[in-house]
Amino acid sequence: MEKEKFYYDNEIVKNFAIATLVWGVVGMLVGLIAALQLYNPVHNMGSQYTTFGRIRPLHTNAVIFAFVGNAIFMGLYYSLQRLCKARMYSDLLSKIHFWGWQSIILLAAITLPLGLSTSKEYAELEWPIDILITLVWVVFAINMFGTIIKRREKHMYVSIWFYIATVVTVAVLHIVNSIEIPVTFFKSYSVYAGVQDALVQWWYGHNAVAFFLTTPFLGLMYYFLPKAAERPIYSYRLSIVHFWSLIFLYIWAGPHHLLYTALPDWAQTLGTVFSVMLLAPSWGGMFNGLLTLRGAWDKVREEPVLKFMVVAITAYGMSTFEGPLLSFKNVNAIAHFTDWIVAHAHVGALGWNGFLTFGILYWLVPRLYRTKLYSNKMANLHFWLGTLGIVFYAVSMYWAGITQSLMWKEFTPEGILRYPNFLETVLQIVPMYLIRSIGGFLYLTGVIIGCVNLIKTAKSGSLLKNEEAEAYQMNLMDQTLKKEKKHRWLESKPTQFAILTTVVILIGGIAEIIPSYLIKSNVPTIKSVKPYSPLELQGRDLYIREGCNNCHSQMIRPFRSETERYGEYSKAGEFVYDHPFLWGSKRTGPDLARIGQKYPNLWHFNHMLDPVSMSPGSNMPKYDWLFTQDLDISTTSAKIIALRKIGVPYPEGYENIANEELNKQAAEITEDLIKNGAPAEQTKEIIALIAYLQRLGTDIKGNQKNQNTK
Amino acid sequence: MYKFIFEKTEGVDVYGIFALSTFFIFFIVMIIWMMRVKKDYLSKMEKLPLEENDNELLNFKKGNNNI
Repeated sequence: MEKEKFYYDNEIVKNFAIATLVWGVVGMLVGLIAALQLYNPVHNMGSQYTTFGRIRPLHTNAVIFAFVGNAIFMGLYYSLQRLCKARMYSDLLSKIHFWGWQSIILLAAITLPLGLSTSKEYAELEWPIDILITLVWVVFAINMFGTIIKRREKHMYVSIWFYIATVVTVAVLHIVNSIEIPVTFFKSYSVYAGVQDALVQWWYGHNAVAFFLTTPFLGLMYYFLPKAAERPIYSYRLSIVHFWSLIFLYIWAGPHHLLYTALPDWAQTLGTVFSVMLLAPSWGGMFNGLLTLRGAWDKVREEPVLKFMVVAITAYGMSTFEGPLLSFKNVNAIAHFTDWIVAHAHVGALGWNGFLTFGILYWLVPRLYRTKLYSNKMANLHFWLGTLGIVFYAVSMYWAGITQSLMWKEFTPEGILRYPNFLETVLQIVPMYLIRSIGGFLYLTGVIIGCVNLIKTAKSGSLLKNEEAEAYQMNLMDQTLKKEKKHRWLESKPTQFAILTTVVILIGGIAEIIPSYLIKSNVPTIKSVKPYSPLELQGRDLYIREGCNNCHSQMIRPFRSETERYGEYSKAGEFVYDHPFLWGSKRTGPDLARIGQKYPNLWHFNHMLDPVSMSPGSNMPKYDWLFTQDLDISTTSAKIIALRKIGVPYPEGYENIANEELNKQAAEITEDLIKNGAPAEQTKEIIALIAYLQRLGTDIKGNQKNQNTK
Repeated sequence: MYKFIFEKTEGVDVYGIFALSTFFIFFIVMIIWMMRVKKDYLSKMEKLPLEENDNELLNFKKGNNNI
């Protein structure tokens, strides 16, 4: 029986490795610039394209989809070929996947600073890019399943299970969350509105963390950790339990991002219950990883690769402990909307994803280039700078989050808010913002040192583009394995496996989302809630363009500390025309759900021109370009038509008079501003934004009587 | 408030029952499966990532045996 000779494709692995490093540095640099702006907005360099609201999504997208995404593909293309004992299915598809993914990232890097955004977190890219993502993902899926089908190894190792779950689930999540109605080539509206949009978005957002940042990395862990430690995984049985329970439970937990919001209680509770259960498989996986190193801890002391991996797995354990903790309503009441969540996310991103990526890179690059790592010392330096960076980052953000939250909630003995001015709570934590940026700087410095080390390593060797290997064909192996009559039907057949995985992840999604459709027709509508006027609608789109939702929530939770500060708590019925919802997830500034009519137009005019003039010490940037740029009203009628199609009750033919209405309202606001001495111009964008802000929350402000069931 | 809506929504209790029963069935099936998994399968599987070491060593020039 002759073994078959074939070659592994190392070139594609190398390409993804380079992309990982390049986008890693870019994404983290953008993060650092964003962090600097939080304590001094001048770091936006006076440009709208580099202002926080626009580069925050750029940072998150770059880190998640560019840095971590390329790292996934790098590790997956390397390990899949070896676990399948086969070259990738098609070199052409590998190339299309690589260049397609890089062009998506490039388009994101162009469109997000331009303000072309859907506002939905981690899904900000506009519809043409969404379609491109779908196509590239399909190419990737064909290439991956093709490789699995033509494999020479009968069994699919657990890493491949995690890869399959990733490919299938990310596809489902991306498609469901991106259903939007295009208005122009660069603008679309989510077909979902309000509560439903929030539920779909956080079902997506949470599971993007699960199936983009977690499952593929667990697949990588199950392959690269045993390789680096030169010993098998602690318990393969545990890895099977880990896999199935993780993918089953994860998909239900999304609503824990919406505790105490206007989302129905049953969905919130479901999110909490499943999040708590999620601790079991997560920690099972962590122990499986750490116990793999039993008897090899002396190696961990010597070997940078293992050091990175140990910290990564520990960070995984920490953030998956914190996740369930934050899902308890009482903890969430304190942590939500604060920097605590930022800390939680960064322990995961910097620790788990970042460190596992570099652990793999330090192991992989010397092998691809047939050489030794250029410098162990530099790798150790990187390790310590990174670890220190994470500590600085996380501790300062925990401190900031808890401090600010307690200040928001503090009452005097007389029963009034101790810190009625939101800004006071921001100024208190500015030193923490400074320390956070130092943490980020240290981490980035480590990464740059790592890049230099890896480049030097590559230069000292030569890339083995096609690596020779040999294995028996699978049908030959079949004969040798005949004894295994009851061989594992499922795990040896990728198609059945993928279908079962899809079913498992769909159960949770269906059980959560379908009832929300049932409710839609039963949700208490509020008579006084009307669609936005054309000017307000344009203003809302400016709010989305500037990414205001990155710092301001529009969701007053039913706490006394919030109703005292912001007004009546938010009701589900208030958001029925909000395509997309703009509840936000972080309060760097105050909630805006009831900002409407709280201040005169002039206040907003001056505040947007120079926030410090109205709120001394404010860390909000100036939005002076809104005062020079003309509002684009060519899109008004298209927007009205699009929104009507998805259920907003604008009367037929309204699109024809929409701009007339728009100008009328703009003239009123401008007149009021001029009367009060502001040099306002009717055609400028600021007028639309003021119109929108003045509308917010006014539909039912202090008027509960209007609430009626349909 | 939402309880009230649910009372009005016909057949909505099916979702709760559906969720609970799938959950139980899923984990019971998994436990049974885990108990029945054969040792030799597990030991074969856990060695899988390490297997290709032979090839690797063939191709690998000396000097990079740090891990």
